[in-house]
Amino acid sequence: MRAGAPDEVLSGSAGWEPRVWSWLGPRLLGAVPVVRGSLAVDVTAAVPQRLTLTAPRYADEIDWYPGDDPEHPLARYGQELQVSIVVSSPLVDPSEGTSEWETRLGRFLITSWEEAEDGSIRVEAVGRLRRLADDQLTAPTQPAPGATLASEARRLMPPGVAVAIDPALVDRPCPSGMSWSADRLSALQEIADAWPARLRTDEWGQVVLAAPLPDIPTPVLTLTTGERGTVVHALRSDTRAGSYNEVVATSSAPGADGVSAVAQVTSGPMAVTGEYGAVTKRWASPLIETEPQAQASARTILDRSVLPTRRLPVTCAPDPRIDIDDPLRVLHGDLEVVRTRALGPVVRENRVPNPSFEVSTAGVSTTTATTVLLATTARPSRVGSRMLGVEVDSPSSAQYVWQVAALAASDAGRHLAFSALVGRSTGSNYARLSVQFLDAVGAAIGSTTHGPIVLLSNADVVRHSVAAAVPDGAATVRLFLYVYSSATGAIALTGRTLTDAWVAAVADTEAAALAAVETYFDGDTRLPDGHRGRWTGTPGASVSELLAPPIEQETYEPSERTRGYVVAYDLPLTVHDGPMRLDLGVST
Amino acid sequence: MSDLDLAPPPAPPTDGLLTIEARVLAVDAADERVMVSVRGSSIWVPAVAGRYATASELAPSRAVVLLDPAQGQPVRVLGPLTVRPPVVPATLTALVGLSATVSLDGAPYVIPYMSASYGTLPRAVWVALDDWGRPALVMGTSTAADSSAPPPDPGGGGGGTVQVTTTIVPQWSGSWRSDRAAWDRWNTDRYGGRSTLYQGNGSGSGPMKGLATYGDQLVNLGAISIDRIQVAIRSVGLASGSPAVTVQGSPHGSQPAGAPSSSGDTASGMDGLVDLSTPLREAMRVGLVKGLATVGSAYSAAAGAGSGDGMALTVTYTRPA
Repeated sequence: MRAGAPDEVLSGSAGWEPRVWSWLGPRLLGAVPVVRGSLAVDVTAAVPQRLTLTAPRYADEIDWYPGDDPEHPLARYGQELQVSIVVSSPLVDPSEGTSEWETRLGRFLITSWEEAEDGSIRVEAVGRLRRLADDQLTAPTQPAPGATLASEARRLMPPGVAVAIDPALVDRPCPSGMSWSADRLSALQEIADAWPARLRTDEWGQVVLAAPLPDIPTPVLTLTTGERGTVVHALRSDTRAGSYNEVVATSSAPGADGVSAVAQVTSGPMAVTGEYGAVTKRWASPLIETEPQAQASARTILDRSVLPTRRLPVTCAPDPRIDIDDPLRVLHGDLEVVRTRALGPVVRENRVPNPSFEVSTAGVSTTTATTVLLATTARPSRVGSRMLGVEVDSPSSAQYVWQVAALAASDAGRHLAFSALVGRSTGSNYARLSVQFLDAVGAAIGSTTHGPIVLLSNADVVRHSVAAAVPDGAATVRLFLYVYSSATGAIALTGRTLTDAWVAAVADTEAAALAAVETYFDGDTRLPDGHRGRWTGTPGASVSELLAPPIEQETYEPSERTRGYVVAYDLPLTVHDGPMRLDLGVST
Repeated sequence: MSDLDLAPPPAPPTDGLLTIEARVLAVDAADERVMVSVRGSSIWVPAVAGRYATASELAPSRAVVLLDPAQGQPVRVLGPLTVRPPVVPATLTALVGLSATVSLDGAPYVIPYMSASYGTLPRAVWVALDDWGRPALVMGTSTAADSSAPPPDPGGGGGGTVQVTTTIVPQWSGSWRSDRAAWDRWNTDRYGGRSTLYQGNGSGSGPMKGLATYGDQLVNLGAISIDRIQVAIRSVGLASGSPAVTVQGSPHGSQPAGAPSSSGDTASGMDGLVDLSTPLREAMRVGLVKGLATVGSAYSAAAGAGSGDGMALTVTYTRPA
């Protein structure tokens, strides 16, 4: 797909203007006014692009009648038209970015012009491959020693035409002792078939050798009935002529006798074994030296034959970005009801990176005399099968453990609450929760906010909490659990404190924040009312979200979906030229 | 459908002939091919075995060449019209055991010989030739001297170069505004709009650097050398005046996300075609430079992609013919 305006702009009321410059060799002859015009492209033609445009007889005080002037912008003495479509949007402030999108369509060689009844000038131009077709070799030529497919493709070009070669194509030497046909276009097509590759031109006027299309199209754009004004007709015509289902590729290189391969359509209505019967195309080239090369060429030639014969014609709103070979998806046919279940919105977020200590103690930091372990001690309120055991041994100063949670810039000015289940196993009887905010470089902002020192239960782990306002510039927050041996905060005793089910949440008010941490949840939570948790990272060891119950939706969608590659299109150049028509080649 | 498809098929470029006669320029028996001269071109063609004589000014040697009926190119040399005799004089240079070394057409061959008294070497002998015209057996002494000479080097097919001129237009252009750390944030509704390349600092813009990118178009020319590049620098008619714009090579082949980089030689001008230096052209040929940045300090601007021939390159280059 070509670069251009985004979908939102093209589907709205966008400005649309063709921009056509006429060049003669290195000289710019001028900008051509366009009254009407279209670009019709069909892959099955030797020169796929055909541009027709109508210019007024007089515009900008210039007479656009070429007459006998060989340097007139519309004359046919090698003049090339460089054509773009400029799409503009009135909704974007130009000082803040792009409000115009230019999509280059290509360079086209003027082949003829004629004066219409009303005096306007109708010009026909074709793609740059025409230069190859016109400029035949006057004497036989053959690959120089050491020549490769890529170097020969460039050498066979008429002067001044560049060749872009897809990096995915693997270059290989040309056999010696072969010579090229007198027709440059045939020679280049032979190189393309043998490689195998697709012979195309791009919007910059370069000849392109591109890798073959994948069998299954991965759509870059979806056209649907209704929304983008797409109308789809039934298959309008079909022909047996030129529609091979079997290709035999043979080497004509000296010494490669018997190198040959057959590619066949083996399924669908065109299968060689079916009622269609076999329709065979034979192809031979000295560029083929091995069986795999012959097989690849036969397959590519077969695809090129089959794809354009099964066409889905589509009429849609003009989109200058759509080019030949673009994989598209078209939704068409009668509308039908489609039921979908969308995830509910996030109602709460648990910011603690290791909330439930089920998997590991990762993320938990400790003071020197303290270690942590995963404890399986039985407690009625425990979440899951494990808790964090905080093991204090011969301390000489305050003992605590902590985790670090990330904050967003938008959290500033809101309130953070942190809660945890805490209980006693042995040793210290008291604990408290605290929070401390840090800036982006890890420096503390303000002082630590402490919750009350609480007496711990021996029988169960009990939820305690603390809340604080998030200051400006806070990038992370430390969530602390302090262990004490008295209600006044005396240094902890040797022994074990149990903790589990940490929750940290941010809300607009302190009360809302505290309410959000009143009950525990993590990614494994499944509530009876349909709320469900989701881990945003590793299950059991990451931040988690609580989602509202899923939403049931009913939408109307077209019943038929067709994928394929664009094999032909007719793009209007002006808004007066009607809709865009394109043919989608549907692979069987 | 192209009008090419509607036209009657062109007459095959064989002048209605299936075979032609052509001069034989060289014989490569090992690869079973013969170089013939067809319509002024010297090309190697696979050949049927035959005692092809190499053409000389005195004795032109000819062969029959089969043409592809549809495309016109030679596909096979069917045999010599001028057949070399089966026994020719050559020079015997050494005898070792049962092997003789003879020289014919300037090339040595080691072959068996029929026993005889060969006397002082080197001397002229008769040799029998095989189906490809190579010596196969020394037949005996000869009174006729070896008159063969090394064939002239015929050169290879597809040799030579040609110099051509073409035009390459930028695929994208724009200006980086340092103060905003963003592309295209200056005068996007006038002076050519978004694609204009600014340089310098003026009217409160802060420092700016323009960039025009050409993708792989220069590499894709397949040039052996780029002999001249002129870039079209066009004024956009800034109200504050348009001093000369200075361009410098940039590695970007398409719009970069951040600030553009550039280095190396510079060239300056305004409203004209400006020549780029030899090192810059070479860097463009091999693909190290795929764009041009405007790096001058004076506040000025140049028309960019899609605005006439702004930043278009007129490239004169040499490529294989």
